[in-house]
Amino acid sequence: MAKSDCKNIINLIPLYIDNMLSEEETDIVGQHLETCEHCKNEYKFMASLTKETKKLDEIEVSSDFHKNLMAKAEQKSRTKKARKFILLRRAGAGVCAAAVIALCVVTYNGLNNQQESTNPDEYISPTSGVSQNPVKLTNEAPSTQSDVSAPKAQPKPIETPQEAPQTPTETPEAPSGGGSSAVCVEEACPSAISLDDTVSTYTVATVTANDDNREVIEQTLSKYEKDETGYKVDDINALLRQLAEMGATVETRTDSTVTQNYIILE
Amino acid sequence: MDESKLIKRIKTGDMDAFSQLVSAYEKKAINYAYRMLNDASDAEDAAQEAFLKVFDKIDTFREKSTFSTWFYTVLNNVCLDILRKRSRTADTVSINQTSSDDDEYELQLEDNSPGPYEQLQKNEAQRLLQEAIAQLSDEHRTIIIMRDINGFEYEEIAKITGVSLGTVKSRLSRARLALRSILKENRELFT
Repeated sequence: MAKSDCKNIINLIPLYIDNMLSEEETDIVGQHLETCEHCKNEYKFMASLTKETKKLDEIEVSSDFHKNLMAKAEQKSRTKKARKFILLRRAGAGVCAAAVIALCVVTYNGLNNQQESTNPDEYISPTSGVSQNPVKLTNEAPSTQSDVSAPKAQPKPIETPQEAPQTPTETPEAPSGGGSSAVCVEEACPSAISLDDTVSTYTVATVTANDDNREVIEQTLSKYEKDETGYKVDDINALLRQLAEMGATVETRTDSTVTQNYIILE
Repeated sequence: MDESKLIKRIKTGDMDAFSQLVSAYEKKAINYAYRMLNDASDAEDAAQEAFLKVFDKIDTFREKSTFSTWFYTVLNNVCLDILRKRSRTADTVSINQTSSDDDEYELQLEDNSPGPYEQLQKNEAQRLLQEAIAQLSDEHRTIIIMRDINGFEYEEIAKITGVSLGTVKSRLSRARLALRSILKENRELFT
């Protein structure tokens, strides 16, 4: 039997063990093994290795693995829910603000078009008898949860639309000083972490570590490719959240001069 | 356990459902990572990271593949990331290996191998096999673990690793030949 035959057969044995050869190859190997003691021993050896590999002892799960994992998952779940809540409140507040502005505009326009009115609720100038900056007064309580003050029943010029009252969103706080992992709503804190998972433009984030967390942050970032700009990161939002949880301060900006997301460690 | 129902519940924030899913997968996951990383502590870290990743992205799971395929894809990538970061140190077992010629493999045991009494307590064949698997290239080790330890079908391995069925076959073939090469001096323990 030619040595090259045996070498070819031995190369086919791994898949022969799993019955993953073609029918023709299976026949060739099968017939060869019947007559070649050397290859038969190789087959037995490799089949035994495969069998023993399946029987390797398993390690046990440590007693606190499940508990620790669930605690972290709970934390993630709470963060997700808080994020949704903030976004919903912002959306709701945005709707309220838009409604108030629209109301002011409509009322302002309405009053501008109004001439004389006999409506006793309207303000009439004591001098001319003609309403000047007539105010459409209402006794209705504000229908929104905003702090908007409805026009009161007293002679008072209506605020211009540009001076519409502030909406009662949660007051966004600027990120606090170094080492903070403060999280703010987006537009009010452009330098804060974006809570939205969607990154539609390229983001350059500056991550500031302190003495306590620098090592773990560097270790986390070391798995990413780095060039002269910084660390190249695809899923940047997830990583920024992770770094913030480690205690890093994160500032982000969008940059149209780069071709992907970067993290700069300071 | 109906995985599909559990996943639907997890998507609604049901932590108990997630706990059940973890319980079903944790031992296999940790052992998979252990075989890949050869370190129990790293294995638990890797498994934890994989579980948290799937939890975070569960809303994106559309069940086009099985959860098992998706989970092990994530876990495998986590393990490969850890391996990429790890630098080989002087006191790990060294091996001269190429991916093209498996005959160049040779097993060198480190100096702090277990003493004679400890050797008596362990299955020598299993110990050598575990060490041999640890010495394989990342690619070969991955496929041996998936096929011979976890029992994944070839098609599933292809989906998890993102390669073609033909590539799975050739990698498995080379991986088993590599193990043969590493352990040929100790074949009497296996036959």
